[in-house]
Amino acid sequence: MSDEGNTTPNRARTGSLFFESAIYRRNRLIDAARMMPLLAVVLFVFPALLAFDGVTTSSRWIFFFVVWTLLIAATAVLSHAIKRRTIDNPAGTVKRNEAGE
Amino acid sequence: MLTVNILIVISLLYVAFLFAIAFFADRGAAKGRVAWVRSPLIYTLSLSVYCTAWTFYGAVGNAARSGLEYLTIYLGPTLVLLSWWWLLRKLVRIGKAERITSIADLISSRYGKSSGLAVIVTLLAVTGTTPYIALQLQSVTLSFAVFAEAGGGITWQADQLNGTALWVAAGLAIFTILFGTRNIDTSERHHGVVMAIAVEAVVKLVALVAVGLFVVWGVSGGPSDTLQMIDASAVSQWNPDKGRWAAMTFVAAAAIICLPRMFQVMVVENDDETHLHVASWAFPLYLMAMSLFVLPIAVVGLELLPAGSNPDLFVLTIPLYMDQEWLAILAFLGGFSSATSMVIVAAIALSTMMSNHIVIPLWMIMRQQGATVSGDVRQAVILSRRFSIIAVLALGYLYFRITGGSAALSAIGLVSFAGVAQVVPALIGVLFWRGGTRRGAIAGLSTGFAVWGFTSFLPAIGLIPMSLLEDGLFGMGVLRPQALMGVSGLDPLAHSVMWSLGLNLLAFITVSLLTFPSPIERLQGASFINIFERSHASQGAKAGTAEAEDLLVMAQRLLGATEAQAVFSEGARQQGKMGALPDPTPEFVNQLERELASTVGAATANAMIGQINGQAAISVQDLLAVADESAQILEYSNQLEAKSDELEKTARKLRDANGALQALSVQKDAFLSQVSHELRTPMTSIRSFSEFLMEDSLKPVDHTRYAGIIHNESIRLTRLLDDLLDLTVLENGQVELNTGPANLVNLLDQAEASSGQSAGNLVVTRTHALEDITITTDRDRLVQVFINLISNAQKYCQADIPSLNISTVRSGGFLDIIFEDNGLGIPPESQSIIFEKFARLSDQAAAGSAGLGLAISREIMGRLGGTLDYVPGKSGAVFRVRMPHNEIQKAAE
Repeated sequence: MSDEGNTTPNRARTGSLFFESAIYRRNRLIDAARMMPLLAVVLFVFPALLAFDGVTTSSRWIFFFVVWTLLIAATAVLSHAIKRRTIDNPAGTVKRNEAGE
Repeated sequence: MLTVNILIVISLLYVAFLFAIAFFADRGAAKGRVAWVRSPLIYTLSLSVYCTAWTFYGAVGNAARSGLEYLTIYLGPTLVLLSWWWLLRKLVRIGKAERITSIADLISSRYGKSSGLAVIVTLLAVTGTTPYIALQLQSVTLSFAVFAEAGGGITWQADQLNGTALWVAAGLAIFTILFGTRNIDTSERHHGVVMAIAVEAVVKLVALVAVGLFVVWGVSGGPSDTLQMIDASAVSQWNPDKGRWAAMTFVAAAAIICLPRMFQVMVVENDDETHLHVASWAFPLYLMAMSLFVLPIAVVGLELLPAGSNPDLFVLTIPLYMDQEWLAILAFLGGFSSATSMVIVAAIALSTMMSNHIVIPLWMIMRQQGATVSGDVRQAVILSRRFSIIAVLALGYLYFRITGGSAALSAIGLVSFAGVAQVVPALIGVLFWRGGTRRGAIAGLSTGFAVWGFTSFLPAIGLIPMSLLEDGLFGMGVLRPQALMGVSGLDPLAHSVMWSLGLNLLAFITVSLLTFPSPIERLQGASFINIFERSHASQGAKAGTAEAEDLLVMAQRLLGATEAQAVFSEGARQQGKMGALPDPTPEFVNQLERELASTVGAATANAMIGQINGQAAISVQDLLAVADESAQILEYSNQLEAKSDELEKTARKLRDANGALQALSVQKDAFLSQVSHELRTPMTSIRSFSEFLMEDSLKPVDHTRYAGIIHNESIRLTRLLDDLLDLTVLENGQVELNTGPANLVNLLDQAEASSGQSAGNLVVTRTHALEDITITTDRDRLVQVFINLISNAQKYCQADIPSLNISTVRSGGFLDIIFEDNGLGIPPESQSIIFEKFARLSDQAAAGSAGLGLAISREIMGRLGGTLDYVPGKSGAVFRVRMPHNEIQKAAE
């Protein structure tokens, strides 16, 4: 993901080393969104492959669907939050950060 | 009693309903009213084309055989949708910026617009997808057959199955051609089809959920009962084959991007990148809902229905068994929707690829001259698309006939996924790796295609003889299709995926590292992979909608107010909106773009319209084209400026020359009238006196006198003509000067003598000492001037004792010879006139003088490099002959 990382240091653009807090929060939300697939892989693939011996099929079934629902809910919350923060920010901020994201 | 006929009627009504939806959505979109079609909900629902009849029917069959394994088909896509931020968003943005029309276009575009790569990907897609189409045809015909069985106990035979399949294929071809190829929109969007697909998605979901609910609460005793049933059934014995689980998840994940139909709805038909915010969770939700009841249905079916029933069809057979006819019809429509939506979108996607990358290039080559008229190409493109759609469906039907609807066909689903997954390594180079090169992509794709074909495709469609399966290629054990290199413990799918993708990736990376990309490849690589730095997402709902006012402002800037308004009012008139701004329909916008193109160039017009339309980024190709055009325009306008400057100068010169010519013409007229007047006077005298001479009664004394007068007048006339000629020669510069040294004293002496001074009563005073100067000049001419001045003094000096003083002065760089008489001088108003031709100030000396003397003298002085002027301010007339000093310097040396 270094290809799309924001390569211009913030200092070069605004003169300060740290982002303002709204942008920082948005970036952390974006990080969370990036992690979701990894989390999903961990939750879906590994139990199915490693830990399911001795567990009944119905339990496994319930497990999958519960995890699935939680992942969907988390993604919904994250994407809504990111979208809200994107619209709130004026075009200038969006450009600067979209460029890196 | 439910008969097949009723089912056919219901199907036809449903199809008509879909046609209507597609038609109205298309019409709405053409009118610019696209808000409905552009909602994120419709986008998410259109993604459901992933769920085909194989998902609707086959998943249940799979669950009945292998328990929870079917979930991988839904979990894979979920993983990809969860990666929306860094994966799908990038893909969609690249698709819009580079105007990508298909997966083949994407790969080819990234690797330097390689048509070879496009062809490989197209062939891979067609090979992998047409058996899948056959599978859909099989599902639909089987579902009809189920009803025939349940309704009337009739078991359909092959010809009925084939007939139905043919009808369905034909109907789908018609629908796709109607709504997929009516006009070739450069954006390749098909709003009508997308709307119809979205409606079918709802029908699918509702049907499956309805059957599921019925099964859980209607057949079984509720959730807990169902769970117990699951544990009690045979499927709970299933243990996951880990390799197969991983392989299935992987290919399903790859399929959600790489399948032609998925790429079409996800990237090509996407209107607005922000739809992905919603799709990221809403589509996994859809998938979850579709998969929720699959296991319960499978388990209940196994329990309920007689052993040996086809588990694939449980969704239909359970309701029929339970006498729930309407539920069964709903389930049928769900399955029908799943199958038809897949075929339609796949046909559009495949025909786009086949047409753009195979048929049209071949046609262009055969035509040799290339497309001369754009209408020409449009017609050809539409025809080739239709031809491709028919070809795709014909191939699907052919597969169906060849395999005879056997069970072998259902294995095709995963094989098809594994086939399109071969695009993944090249796709990594498209999205993330600058090091990917065209040759690497070709190497990877070819290797993957070949290995996949050998290890799963050919075995799946039964084209590999048993001997080859057992003994391997060329009899070599390590080349057995399902146990390459002796790796034999793996599930066939996992085996095939591992080998094909492994070798594919290896070949791609190795060859990419070893080859150097062409400039256009590097350009494309940079612009694709850095897409986020180059562009930003267009903002929300306004994206893609150009306001008519914005367009008008821009058009006025480029075309000028009057022309822009003319275009707009014509557009409004065509839309029936007199006196208002026209709607920004695709037709009008295209028309406007054409008008602009004639002024600023096609690429610039395209870029500007794209900007206003909210297009997120301009591709580098476009920028180069725009820069090119701008340079040409600049050059042209520079040339025009230079030319107009020149023309301006020339016009000025012409004006000046004209003025001079006119003045000259006036002068000539005045001269001619003067000359004729001067000539007439002596001629009159000569005539009159010669008439007198003709009279007999003339005394000898008068005779002599008159003859004398005639003689004098003719002399005068001759002198006048001589002077005139002299003046003309002088003025035309045709005079030849004989320059040589001369002493001023001698010149003045000669002038005095020749002017008859001695016979006159003019007293001439000179200062001989100062006149002792040698000058270089034309002696005769200078003497002529002196004679003229002296005789003028003789004629015109009014004084009791007329005297003329000739003095010589050297001042500045000049030698002045001043002739001053003691007469009355010349009044100021006449001082310039005296040098004019035929100017005489008094009639006194009319006889013998033509009035040309001073004019001639002045011309002569001009030719000699000096001047002749009247010096005012003295009591008498003062004429100054001035010659440059240089003459004297030279002479002195």
